Amino acid sequence: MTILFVLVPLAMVLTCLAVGAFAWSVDRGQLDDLTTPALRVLEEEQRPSLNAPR
Amino acid sequence: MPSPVAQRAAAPNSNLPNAKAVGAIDQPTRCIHCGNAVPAASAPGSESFCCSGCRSVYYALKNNGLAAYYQQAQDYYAASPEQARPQAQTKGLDYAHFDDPGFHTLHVQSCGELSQVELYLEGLHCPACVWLVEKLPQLSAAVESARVNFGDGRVLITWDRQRAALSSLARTLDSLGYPPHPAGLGRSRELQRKVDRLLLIRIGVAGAVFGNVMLFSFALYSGAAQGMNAQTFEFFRWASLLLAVPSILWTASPFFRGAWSALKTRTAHMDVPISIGILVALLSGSVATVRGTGEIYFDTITMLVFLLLLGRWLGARQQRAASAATDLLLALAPSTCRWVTETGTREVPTISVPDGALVEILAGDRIGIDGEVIAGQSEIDESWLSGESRPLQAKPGTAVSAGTVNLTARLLVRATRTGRDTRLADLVRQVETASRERPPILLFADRMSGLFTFFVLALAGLTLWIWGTQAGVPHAVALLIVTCPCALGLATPLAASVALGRAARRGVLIKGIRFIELLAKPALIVFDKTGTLTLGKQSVVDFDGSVLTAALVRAAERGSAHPIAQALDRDLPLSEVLVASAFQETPGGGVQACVGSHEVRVGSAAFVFNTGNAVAPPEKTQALIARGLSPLYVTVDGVLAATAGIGDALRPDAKATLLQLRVLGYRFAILSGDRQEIVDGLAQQLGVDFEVALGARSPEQKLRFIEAARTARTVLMVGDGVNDAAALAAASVGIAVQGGAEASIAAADVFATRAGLRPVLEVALGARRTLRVIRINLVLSLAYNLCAAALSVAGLITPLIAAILMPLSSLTVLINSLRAKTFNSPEPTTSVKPL
Repeated sequence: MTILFVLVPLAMVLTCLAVGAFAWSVDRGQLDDLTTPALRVLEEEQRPSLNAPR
Repeated sequence: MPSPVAQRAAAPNSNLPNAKAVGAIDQPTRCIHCGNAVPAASAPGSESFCCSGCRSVYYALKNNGLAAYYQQAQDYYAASPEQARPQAQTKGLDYAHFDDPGFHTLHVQSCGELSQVELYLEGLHCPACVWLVEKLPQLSAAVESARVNFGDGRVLITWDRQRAALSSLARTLDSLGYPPHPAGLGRSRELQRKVDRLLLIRIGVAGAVFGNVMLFSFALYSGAAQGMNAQTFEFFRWASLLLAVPSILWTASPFFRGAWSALKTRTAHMDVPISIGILVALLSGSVATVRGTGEIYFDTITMLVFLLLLGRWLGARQQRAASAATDLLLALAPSTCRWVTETGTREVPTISVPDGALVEILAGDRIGIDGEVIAGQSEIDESWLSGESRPLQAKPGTAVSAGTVNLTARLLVRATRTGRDTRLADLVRQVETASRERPPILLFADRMSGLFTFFVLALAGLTLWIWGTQAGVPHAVALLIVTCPCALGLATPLAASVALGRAARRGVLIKGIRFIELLAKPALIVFDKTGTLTLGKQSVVDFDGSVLTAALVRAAERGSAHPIAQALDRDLPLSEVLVASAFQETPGGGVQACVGSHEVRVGSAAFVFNTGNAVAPPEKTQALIARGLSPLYVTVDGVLAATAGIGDALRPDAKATLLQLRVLGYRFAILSGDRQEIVDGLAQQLGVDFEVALGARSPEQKLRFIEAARTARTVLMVGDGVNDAAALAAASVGIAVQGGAEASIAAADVFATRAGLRPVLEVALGARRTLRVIRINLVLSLAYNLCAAALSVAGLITPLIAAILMPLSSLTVLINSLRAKTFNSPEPTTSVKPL
């Protein structure tokens, strides 16, 4: 069971990394607007427009 | 009195000599862009539009290869049939002030080599609009990206300043139907955004800590039965402590701060019992871990903090940006004026026009200053100020106001008040003050938290007294922890959030959960008249001719684009299509045409009766004028065939809606800018008891009325125009109806996207149902707390029981909130729900 003394702190480090990544995405504003992305899903795929002349 | 609703009549009437019955029944054509009915006078063809706005947007889309917009819009509106489709708005302005260096200092940031600006857009109504605006890079090579925030109605544009001026982008957006405005000075929004983001990070940390501490508890509970190695036991307890204590002290700090200020100001707030529970748990858990014996409750408390933060976030999420109202009002004044001096006429910024200066206002221009007419004769559209749709006749000596529109001819005006002294600027200040000075709304749950805390502390004292200090402390500690009002704190935000989401799908946008309780209780509802209780446009309110006469009138009026012709086409009974020839329109008089072999004249008395023997019927004319309607006469071959009354008709659902609201206990008042006789006539027509029905109210008078009424009771204001904006901001709850000015929508707390007064009733009913759900939630959570308290006093509570009871109570509250049908759809929609 002494392995727990290694594994648990290791898991905590991973948790910190995960929370850090979450905080980073919040700071970058990725979670500011949760309604508009849902609307964008309704669009048809307009891939050909990328190649259309600007 | 016939209602202004068209009826479809039967087969063609062949008694009419020489009438060419074309065979088809008059069908209303639909505007290609917005789907609204098109008046018959517009050019027939495959493409018809209801207004020039829709036409210009349609061609803008077609020429840029963006016609896919229409398919998307169609899908969206097919899925939600109750949403009203708005006409395209284009202002046709040049937006030159967007290139001003001062504008750029305030609103534009740099982002690397590119520039960024956030603009508020009018007219964002559906997902197709989001798609369209985000296609801006396709329309202008200088634009790198355009990201829309649908909830706020804003777009963030990143573009290259060297390649395109901001004004050209603004003009493009306007031509697509989305007039842009600067998105406010941004500082308060920046702060709000920081606060929101911090809350999210707290939730993330709280959630991670909750999950891990729960896992440690699993280990401890599993070992509790068979016994556990002392080392492992200590390890997990210390691990829980080291993880829980620092993070809870940080993540729960909003509650501690709230409790501290509530205690300082002696107000009741839910944060007080919450903080007590959390701190007691942390303290006792730490002591127990250090001493090696005793219970720890870290798992319960971390879960509690996570759920409470989540509830707080849900409640805050529904708030929408309220800032745009004053900016939109300011946008009513033009940015430039034509200043006339001895040296000539120059176009200068409006703010630099001094008092006493002479300003030239061309036909179609917006007026930039308050002033007095010196020369010229014209008509001015003052609808935002007076609520009247009839234009003001302006001649030398008439006073004019900033923000109104000069309709017909050039005017020369001497400025009397400029810049910040105009009535428009006053109105903006009033809206600001009204929204700032509104008292904060305390939720019911907060109000009863004082009593709650008292009881919990009393019970804790009781426990200590029963068990004695030695054995009583762990029981009292357990009591304080398990009675921590988690479910109680979630009761209102959960139910309200769900209800608000459902309301939004029904097309009623409520800007915050705190309004639910205000909307549910009987209150005084103050209605605006024009556009709210009435349709807001000219209609045929009364027509006493036969169906045949109606057909003749329609044929004669088909060649005219006048609003009265549109009203006749819209409201007269439908029947066969007749063809007119020799059409002639006299401005200010009427129309005349030959239909078959008959000569038909439609118009005012002076126009219609100047030939032939017929005269205007005096009693009928008097009766119509007494009702506030304008009489319109129809003669066929010189003989009077019909008299029509033209005016602003009541909304078809107004009477029924008011009656039902009355049954629910609401009281009514009318405040209108229109004449008192018309308001009285309307009150009589509605047949409902009005406490107060006042006409000729200016925006300032409306505001004062609302403020006075609000001191005694809850006041709901329903309005649509700019002249209601201050009143809407000052009311306990302001409701803007569909078709309203953008400024009133921004100033209001509730916005109905469906036409008619029915949404007001639905809001009231929905709020009542939601309040019922909230009450059930509160009862359920209190029941759990009572149960837990009883168990603790009896000494029967263990951390395991606590860890089960708390989530159970929250789950019950959640299920109750979700299953309740607060805002119902009449028929289920099977396709994808857009919002």
